[in-house]
Amino acid sequence: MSEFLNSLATGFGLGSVYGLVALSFSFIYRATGTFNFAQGQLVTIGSLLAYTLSVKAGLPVLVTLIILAATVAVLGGLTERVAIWPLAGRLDDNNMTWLISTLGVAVLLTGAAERIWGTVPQGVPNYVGPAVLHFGSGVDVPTPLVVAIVVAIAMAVAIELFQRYSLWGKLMRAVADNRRGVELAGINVVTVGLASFTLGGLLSGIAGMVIAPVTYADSTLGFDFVIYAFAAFAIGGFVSHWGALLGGWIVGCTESLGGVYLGLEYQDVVLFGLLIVVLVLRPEGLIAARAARRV
Amino acid sequence: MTRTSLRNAIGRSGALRKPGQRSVAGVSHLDGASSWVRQIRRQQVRSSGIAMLAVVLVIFGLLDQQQEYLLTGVTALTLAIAASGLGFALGLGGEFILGQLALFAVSSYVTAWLTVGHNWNFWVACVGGIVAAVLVGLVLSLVGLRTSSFYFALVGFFLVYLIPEITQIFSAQTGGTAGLAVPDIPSFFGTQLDTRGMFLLAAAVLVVALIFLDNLRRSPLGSHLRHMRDAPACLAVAGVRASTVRIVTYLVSSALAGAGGAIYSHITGYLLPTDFDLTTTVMLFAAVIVGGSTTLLGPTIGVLILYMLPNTVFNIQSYADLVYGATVLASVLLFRGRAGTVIGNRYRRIKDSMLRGGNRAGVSPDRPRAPGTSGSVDELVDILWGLREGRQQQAQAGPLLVRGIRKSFAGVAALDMSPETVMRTNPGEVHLLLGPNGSGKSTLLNAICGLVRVDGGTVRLGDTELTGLPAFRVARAGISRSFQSPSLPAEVTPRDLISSALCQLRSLSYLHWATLDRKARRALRESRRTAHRICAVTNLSAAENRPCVELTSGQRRILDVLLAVISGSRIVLLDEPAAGLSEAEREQLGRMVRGLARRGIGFLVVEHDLNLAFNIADCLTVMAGGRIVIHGTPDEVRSSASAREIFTGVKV
Repeated sequence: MSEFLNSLATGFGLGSVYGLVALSFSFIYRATGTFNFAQGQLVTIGSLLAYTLSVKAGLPVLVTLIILAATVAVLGGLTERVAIWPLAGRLDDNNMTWLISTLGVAVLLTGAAERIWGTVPQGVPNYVGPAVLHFGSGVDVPTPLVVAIVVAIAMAVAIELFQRYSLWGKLMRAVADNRRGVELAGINVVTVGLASFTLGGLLSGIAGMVIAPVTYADSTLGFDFVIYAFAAFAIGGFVSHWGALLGGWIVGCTESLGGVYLGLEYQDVVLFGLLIVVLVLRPEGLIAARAARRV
Repeated sequence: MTRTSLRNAIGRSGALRKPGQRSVAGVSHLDGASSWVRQIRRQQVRSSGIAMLAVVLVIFGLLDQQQEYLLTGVTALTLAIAASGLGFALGLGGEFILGQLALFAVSSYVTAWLTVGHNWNFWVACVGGIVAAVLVGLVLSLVGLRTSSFYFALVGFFLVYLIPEITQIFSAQTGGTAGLAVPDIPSFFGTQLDTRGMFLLAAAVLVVALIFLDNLRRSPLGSHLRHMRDAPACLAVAGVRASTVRIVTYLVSSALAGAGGAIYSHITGYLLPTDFDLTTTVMLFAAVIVGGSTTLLGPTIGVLILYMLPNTVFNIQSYADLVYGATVLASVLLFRGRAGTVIGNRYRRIKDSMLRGGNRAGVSPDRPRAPGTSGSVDELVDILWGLREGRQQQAQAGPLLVRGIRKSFAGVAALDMSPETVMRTNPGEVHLLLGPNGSGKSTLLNAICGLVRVDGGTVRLGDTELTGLPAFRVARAGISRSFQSPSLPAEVTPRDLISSALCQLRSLSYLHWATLDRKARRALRESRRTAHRICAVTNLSAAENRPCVELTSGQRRILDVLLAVISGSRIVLLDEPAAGLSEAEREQLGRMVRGLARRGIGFLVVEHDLNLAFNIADCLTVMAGGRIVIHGTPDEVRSSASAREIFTGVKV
C-alpha cells in the first residue's frame, strides 16, 4: 500500500514537472496556435543555467531565477523572430510550416546546448528545505517534487489571472480566437505573438529551474520534454491550461505506476498506448470546451 | 546478372511510359496527331528525371570501388525510398508524417528477425517487414483520422522516440541496446548480393518506387491529395471521401518506409536502435523540404545531398544535427516552406518551353477559337454532354426537393423556412436563387450538399433521402456544386485538374492508377485529350498548362464550374458563378448553363447579376431573411411587388 502511495506521490510530483513544461507549451499554443518544438530545449537551457548560476557560480536562488528567466525569455522571443515571424501571414490552419521551422530551431538549440554544457547530466541540489519530506504512513516525497507541485499549481493560477485580467493576456486570448479580427481592430498581432513567445520562454525557464533538482541539468532532454508535454497537453486537452496540468499529472502517474508495476522499459510504451486511446476516443482531450471543435 | 536485369527493368520502365502506338488509329484528324506528338514529348520529359537518376545510380554502383562510399550510398538510397513516400504525403497531401523513420525501423527489425530468428528467405522476410510497417502505419492513421495533422505529426515523433524502449522490450528478437547481428546475405537468383549488389537492389527499388509515385501523382489520387491539402471542402463535394484518400496516402508512405527499412536491415549486417534516432528523422524532413516536397525527385535528391555530404565529402558528421537543423530552418525561411513549388515552377517553365519548341518544329497545334462565340459554347456543351452518354441509364432523373430547412448559427437563424415550404429543382431546369446578402442562399446550398448540418427539414433527390448525409455521399447521389470563392490546388494545372476529374468518372481503383495498366493509361490519355478540348473552347485555352495559382479570378471560376458540371451529376449547384467574370465570359457561362439544361441537367444557381439571372432562368426563387419570399417564372417575379421591394429597397 505504501509502495502504491509512494509511487502515486512520485507520480504527482513528476506529473507536476511535466505539467509545468506542458503549461509553457500550452501557453504559446493557446496564444498563437503554434506548437513550439524549441520549447523543450528552452526548458533544458533553464535547467542548465540553473546549474551554472546556482551551483557553479554560487549565486543566491532568487538572483539565479531572475537572470535565468530573463535569458530564456529572450531566447523564446528570438525563437519567434527566427522561426515564426518570417512566416507571418502564413499561419493558417492548413499550413504547418511552423512545425518544421521550430523543429529546426530545436535541433539547433540542442546542438548548441550539447556543445556548451556537454551531454553529462549535472546534479542540481535542492533549493529549499530538507531533501525528503515525510508525510506519515510511510509516504516519503523528495522536496523538489513537492516544490514542483506547488509551483505548477501557482503557475496555472497565475496564467489564469494573467489571461483573464491583464490587457496583454486578453489580447493573446483574442488573437488565438480570431487573429484576423484582432488585426483589423488595429492591433499588431505580430507583436502579440512575440510577447507570447517571450512569456512562454519565461515560463519554460522557470519550469527548467524548478525541475532541475529532479531531472538534473541534462542538455539531451529537450525532445523528451517535447514528447511528455505533448502527451500531457493532448491527453488533458488544449483548450485550457488546466488541461495541461491535469494531463501532466495523468502522464506522471502513468509513468510512475507503470514503471513500478510493469517495469521501467514499459513506462513510455504504456504512456504512448494511453495517448493513442485518448486521441482515438476523445480527440479533443479530457477537458474540452463545450462546443468541441476539431483541433 | 544483377546488372542486366536492372538494365532490363529500366528499359522496360521506359517502354512502359511511352504511350502506345495503337492509339494512332483511334485518334482523329489533326487534333489527335498533334496531341499525340505532345503526349510523347511530355512523357519523355516527365520520365527523363527518373531515367537520369537511374543511370547515375547504376554508374555509381558499378564504378565506385570504395566500400565505404557504397555503404553510405546504399543507406542513403534506403532512406531516399522512405523520403519519397514522405514527400508524397507531405508535398501533395500536407500530411506531416514525423513517424516515417519509426515505420522504417519496424520493417528493418521485422525483416531481420524473420531472417535471423526464423530462417526466412530474405525476399519473403522483406514482404513481412513491409506488411508490419503498413500495419503500424494504419494504427497511426487512426490518430490521423481522428485529430488534426499536427497531433498526428507528434504522435509519429513519439513513436520514433520509443524505438530504443521497444527494442529493449523485445530484446529477445531485436537484441535490445546491444544490437542485432544479421549475418544473412541475400541472394538474387543464386547471386550473393554484396554491398554493391545491395546498392543496385536499393537503386532498383527506388526507381520502381518513383515510377509508382509518378503514376499516382498523375492519377486522380494525386489531385485528390492536393485538394485535401488546399481545399478539403472541394474534395467532399466532388464525391470523394477524405478519410479514404488519407488512408491510401498513409498506406503508400508506410509501404515505402517499409521497403526502405527492409533493405536497410541487410546492409551492414548489424542493426542498432541508435540507427533510428531523432537526428535522422530531422534529416528526412530536411531532405524532403530542401529537395522540394511537391516534386517527385526532390526528396530523393535531398536525401542524397544531406546524407551523403556529411558522411563522405565533408567530415562534419559530429555536427550533423546542427547542419540538419540549420538546413531545415534556412530552407523553410528562404522558400517559406514551399521549396518544392519554387523549384517545381522553374522546372515546369523549362519543360513548357521544351514542349512549345516541339510544337513549333512539329505539327502546329489547333488554334482555339475565340471564347464567347456561340460555336465554341455549343462545342463545349457537346463535349460535356458526350461525357455523360452511357452513364445516363443508371442515373434516374428526379427533382431536387428541399423542404422546410431550418439552420441557426449560435442562435441566429440563417435559414428559417416553414415546414410546408418546398423548393423544387427539376432536371433540365435552371432554377435561380436570388436575394440580398445574408438572406441564406449560400447556407441553403451548403445545407443541400451536406456541408452544413441542418436543424430541421429534409433534402431529397427523387426518391433518395439526402438529409444529414455527409457531403461526399450527397455528391455521389448526384449533386455537385461550385463555390463562391473557388479554392483550387495551387500547383496543379487546369488541364490536369479537368483530366483527373474525367479520370474519376471511370471509377478505376487506385491499384490501376499505381501500376498504370492499360485501362488506366487509356483513361489518362483520353481524359487528357478531352481536357485539352474543353480548355480550348473556354477561356482556359491560354492557361491550360499553368498552375492554378496563376489563373485570373474569371478563369478560376470557370474551372470550378466546369469541374462541377463534369462530375456527371444530375443536379448542379452554382454559387455566384458569374462574379468576377467579364461580359463575354458571363455570356458564355449563361449559354453553357442553358445548353446543358436543355439536355437534362438541373441547375440551382445563386446569382447577383440580375440580367444574367433573368436571361437564363426557367424559374426564380427570391429569398430574404432565411425565408422564401416568392417563387415563379421570370415574368411573375419581375412583376411581383415584394420582389421589387427586395431588389430596389423601395416600398412599392
